[in-house]
Amino acid sequence: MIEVELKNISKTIHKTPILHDINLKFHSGAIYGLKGKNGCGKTMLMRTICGLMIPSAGTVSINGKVLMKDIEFPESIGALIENPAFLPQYTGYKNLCMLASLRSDIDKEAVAEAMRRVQLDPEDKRVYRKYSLGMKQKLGIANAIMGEPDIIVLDEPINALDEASVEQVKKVLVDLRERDHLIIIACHDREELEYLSDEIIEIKDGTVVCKQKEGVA
Amino acid sequence: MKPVIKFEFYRAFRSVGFYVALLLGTALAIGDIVLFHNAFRDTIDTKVVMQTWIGTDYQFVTNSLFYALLPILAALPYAGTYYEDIKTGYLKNILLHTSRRGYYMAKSFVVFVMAAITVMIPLLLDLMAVMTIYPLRMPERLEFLSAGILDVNLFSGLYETNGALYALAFILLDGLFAGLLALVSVCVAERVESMFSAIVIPFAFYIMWSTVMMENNDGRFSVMEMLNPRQSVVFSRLQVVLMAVGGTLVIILWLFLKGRRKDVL
Repeated sequence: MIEVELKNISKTIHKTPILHDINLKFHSGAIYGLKGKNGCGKTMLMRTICGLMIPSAGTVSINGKVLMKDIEFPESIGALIENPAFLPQYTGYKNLCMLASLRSDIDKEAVAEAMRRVQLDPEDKRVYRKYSLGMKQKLGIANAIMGEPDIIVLDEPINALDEASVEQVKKVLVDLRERDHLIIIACHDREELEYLSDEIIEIKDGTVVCKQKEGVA
Repeated sequence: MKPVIKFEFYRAFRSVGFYVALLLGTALAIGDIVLFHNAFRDTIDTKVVMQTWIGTDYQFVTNSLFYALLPILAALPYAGTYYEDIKTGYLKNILLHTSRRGYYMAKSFVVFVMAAITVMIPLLLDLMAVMTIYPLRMPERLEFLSAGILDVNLFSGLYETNGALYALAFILLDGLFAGLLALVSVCVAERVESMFSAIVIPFAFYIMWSTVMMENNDGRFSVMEMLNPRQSVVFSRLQVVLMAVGGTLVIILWLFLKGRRKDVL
């Protein structure tokens, strides 16, 4: 059981307020959708949850452990934030294996399985620089879900994906939710967001303006 | 931290920059041997290791070129990857699997080691090659073609007794400074707009600083002169140690403290 709590989170960069007094709670076994215009602070919020951005005020805690105080990053997290970024001279499988080698709990089979789940072939000999945009996006998702981390954060995961791939990704996310993972996604496609999310959080100008539970259009 | 160090070394030994730098350094070393042999073909039997090793051979441009290009040789292998990790966003992927401290420590360590070995290998190869060709007999002090190593120079005792050890001492020193210069690339990576700038800035600083120091203070704070085994300027051991070890520790500490609370955007 995972609980992520954001208390009074604010962030200012070069005197520009990016996030302002955000209070949220996330629980495992649910998909949370973040909605808002470009530049409203969704990605910054995701970075804060991942520990990649340090808030100017407030705390992020994972099961009571405060980021940058008790732990530096969430102990079990996978993320795709903005563009997927990998080493262009290696294959997708090699890229993920290299990242998996940084941890002891993700083996090569888990990497291959993650790739297959998003319809990528681990045996594909093409290097990353030769991947299409959709393939790069899928590799980013595979990186986020490999090893099945407790928390999965996905920023616009269905960008550049064809219809079949979108359906596959949705299946994967629903399956992960059923197995008690906590998933936070940002998506501009309102229909997909409403289909997937148990709760939709609307952000405007760096603040939470609205939270909608499942079933509310 | 061990997995992230292994990860960084894996990337480093597959970096094209490493092999390009190694090739360039080795080409200069071989070029020096060939130039010397061609120039003194008729009197080659009278020549010795300390006249022909690139570090103490002041006859040809190869010595000056090697020591002028040293920061480029040092930065090419791996120093640019911090810039690459930030600009491409790859840093996010690494940090989520490790820690900021682990990443910055590993990056600093690997950049330092790769820079050191890239500079040391051509110097060592050159030393080994000339030792197979020429005798290790020491030249008379101030004999023609001999570097004028005096009692006040660094490692003068070694130069008098065992030229090979003298060369090795300087090779180690050059490796240490190469690591330091490569770390400067890492420090400037966040502030520059291209990897080219990240790699070239330490070189530019090194050349400008050495030129200014040669014009004033007779070169007593010129890093380029400090690294050159032909020692045309006198340095004290303390000065060298302070600059090398002190500089490296300051840079690593700065990187670590800065990186500890860095936003990854």
